[in-house]
Amino acid sequence: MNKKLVFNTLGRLLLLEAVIMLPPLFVSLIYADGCASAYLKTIGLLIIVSLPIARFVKPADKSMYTREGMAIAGLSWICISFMGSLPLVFARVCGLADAFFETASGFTTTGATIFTDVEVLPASINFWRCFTHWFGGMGVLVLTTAIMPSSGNSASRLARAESSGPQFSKLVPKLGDNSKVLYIIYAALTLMLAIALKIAGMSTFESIIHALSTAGTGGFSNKGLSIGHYDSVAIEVIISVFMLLFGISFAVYFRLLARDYKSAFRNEELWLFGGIAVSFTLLIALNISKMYGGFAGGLRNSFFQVSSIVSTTGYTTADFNLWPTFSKTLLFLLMIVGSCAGSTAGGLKMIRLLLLAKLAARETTKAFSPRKVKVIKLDGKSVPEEMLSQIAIFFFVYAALAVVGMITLSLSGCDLTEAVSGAVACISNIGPAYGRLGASGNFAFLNSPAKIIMSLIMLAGRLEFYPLLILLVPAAWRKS
Amino acid sequence: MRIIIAGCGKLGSMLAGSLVNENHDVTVIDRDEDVLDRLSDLDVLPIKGNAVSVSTLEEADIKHADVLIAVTISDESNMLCCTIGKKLGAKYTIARIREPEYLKNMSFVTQELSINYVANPERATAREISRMLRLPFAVSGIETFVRGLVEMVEVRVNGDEPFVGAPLSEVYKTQKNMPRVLFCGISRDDEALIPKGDFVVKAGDSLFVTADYATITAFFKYIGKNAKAAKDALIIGGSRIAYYLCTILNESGVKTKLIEYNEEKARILDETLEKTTVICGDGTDQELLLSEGLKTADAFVALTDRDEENLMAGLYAAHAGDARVIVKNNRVNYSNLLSTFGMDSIISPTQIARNIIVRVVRAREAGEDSGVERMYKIMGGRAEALEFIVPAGAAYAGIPLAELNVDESSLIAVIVRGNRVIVPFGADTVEAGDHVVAITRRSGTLSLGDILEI
Repeated sequence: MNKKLVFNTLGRLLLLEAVIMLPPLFVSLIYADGCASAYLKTIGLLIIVSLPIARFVKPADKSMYTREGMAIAGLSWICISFMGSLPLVFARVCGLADAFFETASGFTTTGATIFTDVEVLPASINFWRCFTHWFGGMGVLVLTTAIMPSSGNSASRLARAESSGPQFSKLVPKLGDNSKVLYIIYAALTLMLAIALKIAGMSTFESIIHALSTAGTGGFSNKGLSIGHYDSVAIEVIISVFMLLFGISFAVYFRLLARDYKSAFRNEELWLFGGIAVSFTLLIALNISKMYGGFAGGLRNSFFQVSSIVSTTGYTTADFNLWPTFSKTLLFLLMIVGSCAGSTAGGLKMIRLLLLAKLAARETTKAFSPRKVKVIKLDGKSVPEEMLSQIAIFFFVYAALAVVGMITLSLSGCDLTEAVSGAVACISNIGPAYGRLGASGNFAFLNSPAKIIMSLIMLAGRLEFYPLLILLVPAAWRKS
Repeated sequence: MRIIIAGCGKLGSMLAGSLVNENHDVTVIDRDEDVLDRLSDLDVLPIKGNAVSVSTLEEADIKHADVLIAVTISDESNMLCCTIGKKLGAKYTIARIREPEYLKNMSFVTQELSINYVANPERATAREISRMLRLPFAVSGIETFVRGLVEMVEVRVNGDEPFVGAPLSEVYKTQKNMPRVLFCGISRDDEALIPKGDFVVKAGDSLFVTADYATITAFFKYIGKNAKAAKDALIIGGSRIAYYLCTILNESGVKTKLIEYNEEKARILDETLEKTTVICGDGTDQELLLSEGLKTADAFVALTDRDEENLMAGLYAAHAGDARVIVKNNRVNYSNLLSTFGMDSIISPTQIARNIIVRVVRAREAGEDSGVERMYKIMGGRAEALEFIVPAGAAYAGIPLAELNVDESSLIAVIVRGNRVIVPFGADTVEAGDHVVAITRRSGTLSLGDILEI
């Protein structure tokens, strides 16, 4: 591995983090919440650490290969989460392990919190928590490729390592332009949501932070009861719809903007996503209607909760921990699957589920007709065999990591439901799980080692495992 | 610019790499997933599909394409791709066409089939080889401008040439008989210089001179660099390049002997190449080469389809005789290594085709209405040679060059009026309709008016 290149890029990324810490600094100054010095200290520290690295560690060979791209993605997400946790520590709102968990949960758009009461947090800290969701959703490396001039060839290694889904495909030929297009669509949708929330009755500050949090499909809120606090149908519907919108591949929006409706809707993943969202909403609505005085009340809660879980956001309006087991099971399945590839959401992704199902169907046919040739197609195009086996392996790695999470949680005082659901909620970047980790609970009672391991699992889930796993492979660090 | 490359073979991928480096938006189309996978290192948009299908071209956003380059394996697909592409909205189309039969009806092909530029790597390669044989002392490849009428040759200055040591404005006063060529560029210590009248050439400089073909030849004879041009050539491998090369060499009176292994092919070649002696045999057989006069031949050119065979035969020829050895090899990254083995020139048709197409693209980039016909990067990319057509009513037309302010970092290298090549001196004028080649170090030159100020 070209370590100099990795560290040089890392240095530049941390400088970028110093820049994205300016908005919370302004918020802190506006609200005079006493946290300004915490941000200033962190920004100072970021500059002291990263400027020498970016300036003096000059790689002789600037060509970036897959392994460098992966390692940069893995290391930078860990470092950015760590540095991003320092304002929380300097502002004395929590300890280091808690702060790291909270910031990792923010950047990975998980939305699991260690705070027992978020309403007492300073305004700028709540802003920073939601702001991390926004950058983490589309990706920090994608941002750098959009704004920093660099060779497109190496930039695509970075963006590839950070993007979600089984294949990385661009919308326009140049990677830099591609990243810009994504961020512009992202920012425009976020702005629309913020305006809609403001109109629906939220205060300006709250509409901004909830828009940032929803766009990243994160789930942090400055209210203890999450969106349930507002008890407003309008706000719930707006947020539900936007959560689903942010769970759709951004390629769809690009095609719609290009008036290419045919290929925008010729998207099996999109239809599967819609179908699952609608059918699960109806099933859960029927199942819980008694608890909410009829179908309408059930529908209101089930629509919000299904959107929240399938998009891996993790907002709540009701404590779904108290729902019947059937509803809880369906929601648990949604936690595993997540949304579409190429969105800001986490999870296994609809496209992988779809292809795994097609693969299973093919292998079943092959059992009685072994010589049958069957090419698996998606959106009318054949899927390479290599990608299919990669997806099958991906599924296994997901399960293996879930096991690590389960064991960690079980050693930290969780019962079986909590351990299983908590591990999945972290890998899929959902946030709330069941039991004490559920909608009305939090992750505060875990011990510090468990918090750090779960943070790393969230990061692994967000980066789809390999960028983080490669850091553990000694061979990858050797000179190539 | 938005460029679509249809077909990602050797030429397609090489083009994609060059064009991405020049900061274009490149979309590539190929039928083979593996081929596209190999291009994943490049910042291009890969599209899997058939380049002649409307839906694939539409997926590649052909409507907004500035240039469509069709370089699939088949000539027919390339032509069809350009025709369809143009109908779907591509602004400019380039097709690779190799079959000599098609090229006989060039104007029909280009006009009726909507192909704006036809690239023929084999013929371009053959031309390049013939130039190398004619001017053996040229350092690198010879550039040609204005339909091949004007040539630019790079030559290393030893120090004993008659023009060394005096300012250029004095040179033609003392050397009255020296053929009039233009000293259009000097490469000195990795720096590109555009020489003006007070410039003094030093030993060790790399000098670029331009003029027409006959004057260049005479010039080199005058300065004593007349290392004899090849009178006869021994060629192995009856490829398309060999066919074109024999045709060109025969026209300029060079005797050609062609060795081809396949009997059927040899017969066809003998039918079409009247002046060439065709031998049926193995071009890598040392006995055969010796008996066909390798030791006395002026030039040995290896053009079989297999690069390895060319290299082996070339090595043997360099060892056995004192012929000038030129071998075809598409694996360009080994070129430096190979020249240490005594082979004079390694020539890559893919690279030549790439250079040609990139030049056309650069000229398109300069702007459709700019008047820039072609743009060449010279002296290692540090200067540009631009080919213009002088528009009617240009302000600078008709005024002697000495009375115009020629831009400090540029010069007018040559003027072509009809078929007459003029090497310009102070009293010459530029007239409407002339083709003008200008050398410049400034980038972004869009018209001749940028260089010539009144």
